[in-house]
Amino acid sequence: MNLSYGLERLWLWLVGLLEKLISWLGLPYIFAYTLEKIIFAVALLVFISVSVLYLIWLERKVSAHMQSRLGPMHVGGWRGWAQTIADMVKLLFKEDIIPAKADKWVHRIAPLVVFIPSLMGFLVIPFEKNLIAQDLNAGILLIFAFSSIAVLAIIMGGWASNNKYTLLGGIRSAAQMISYEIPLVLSVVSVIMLVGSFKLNDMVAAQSGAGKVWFVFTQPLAFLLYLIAATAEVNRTPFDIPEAESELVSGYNTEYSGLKYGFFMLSEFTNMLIVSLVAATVFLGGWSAPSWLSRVPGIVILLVKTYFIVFVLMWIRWTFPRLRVDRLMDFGWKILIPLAFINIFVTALVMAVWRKPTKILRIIKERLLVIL
Amino acid sequence: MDFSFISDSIVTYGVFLLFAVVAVASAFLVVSVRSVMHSALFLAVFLLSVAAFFFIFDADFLGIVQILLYVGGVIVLILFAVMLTARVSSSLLQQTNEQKYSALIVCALLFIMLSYSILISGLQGFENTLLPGGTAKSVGWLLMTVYVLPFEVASIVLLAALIGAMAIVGKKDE
Repeated sequence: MNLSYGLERLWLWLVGLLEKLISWLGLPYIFAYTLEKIIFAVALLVFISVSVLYLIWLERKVSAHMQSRLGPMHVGGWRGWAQTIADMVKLLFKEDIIPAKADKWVHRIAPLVVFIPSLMGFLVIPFEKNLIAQDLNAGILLIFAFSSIAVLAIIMGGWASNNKYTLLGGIRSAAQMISYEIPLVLSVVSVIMLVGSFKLNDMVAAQSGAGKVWFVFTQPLAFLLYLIAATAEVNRTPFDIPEAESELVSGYNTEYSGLKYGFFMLSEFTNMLIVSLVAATVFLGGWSAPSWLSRVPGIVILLVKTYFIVFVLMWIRWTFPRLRVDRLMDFGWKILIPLAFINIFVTALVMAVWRKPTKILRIIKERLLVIL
Repeated sequence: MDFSFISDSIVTYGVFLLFAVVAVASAFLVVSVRSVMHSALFLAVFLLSVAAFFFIFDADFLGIVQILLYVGGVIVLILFAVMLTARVSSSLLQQTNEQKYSALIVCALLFIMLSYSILISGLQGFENTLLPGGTAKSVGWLLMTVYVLPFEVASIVLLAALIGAMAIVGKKDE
């Protein structure tokens, strides 16, 4: 048995067993299909919650060490690893306060609206070739579509709290996320053009194997644009205008407490995880690895790449100061978007010349002859 | 009436009915709730359930584009404008005026006319002939070949709107 696809084999074996069991019971195939998806979704949820808890701890440790502090050290023993678990238990038991003049239902629903779309993005991410919830044709677009719903939740939370700081945070986030979604999608367009598909598995396939390099090398500008726009999309410093602690008392989630606040915080880290997963899959080769690493399971390879991107995002957060709100808009519209369009244009030009050089030359010659 | 065009599977049919109820209910609430903010949020629910229809009919690309453009773009812009309006939070704001009953009659007539024409058409054109799988490739191919004229007209309209917006904003000296 090939060790390199251990988890994938286990999953396929489980699926086969389930299908046999369902057909032995005389039930239609749709039951097996539904059960498979439910099992996969539960496994995904466990993975997401564990890694998000770990990410919060990591963020605190990274920030602490960058500022010559120690960070959480006591809870759980080794380096305070259980600190976030304790924090989450504390959040669970805290009183849930809704401001008296708040719009109660919008205030209640907003944490769900922020959390559920950030989970949906995981549906199309291939952890290994067959370790994917649903290999949709329009895969990567689904992630961007659902991440755009998060803006809605931030606006809902900010408006429903009936507080001027939260309202300002909501307005700022609406402006920022709408502006930065455009370069985020445009930066990936050049890769989509090279691959010729929206499927994340096709993108991994285009980067693995002999003679193929990661898109971070062939599309460095796209990677840079993606990373900047993604930092803005998940509201992290230097683009954390929507929740600037020193100006807005943490912005749209000021009036939230207890579990609802926990949802906002969890979704922030879930979004960071998904942005890093997409970066690792689209630009760093996803679950594929060089041949000398072929015995390592693909999911480990993918997670190592993902956590590297996560670390870079944390590094950026604790290194740069916050941008002023007007400069933020200028930067998005006047620098990032034109650069993304230039990148698309150059990619298209190179593709056209590279793939059909004789045809292009013939067309140019014919046009010249016509003009002459 | 034969509804087998929706799906052969009873599960998909149930999901379709669920989203149909959600879509109609939220569309009704958009025009009947008092607060403009709530109207906009129900409009988002309605657009999301329309996206769900696209997914049910195997057009995932269209469904995703629906979410990306309408929910992530248009609704957010509407909410942005609503939040900047001072009178929104007061519940005294009236959404309807004295013409609401005549509007109701017109809407009912339109509904009857549309339902009648859809039902007598025999529901042709649901056979996935043009867009197998609703993929981006076939959509792009159709846009660039069969429907290239509407496509270009739409882009000119958008360009005009863009220039108009810039002209309005750009008058700083006055």
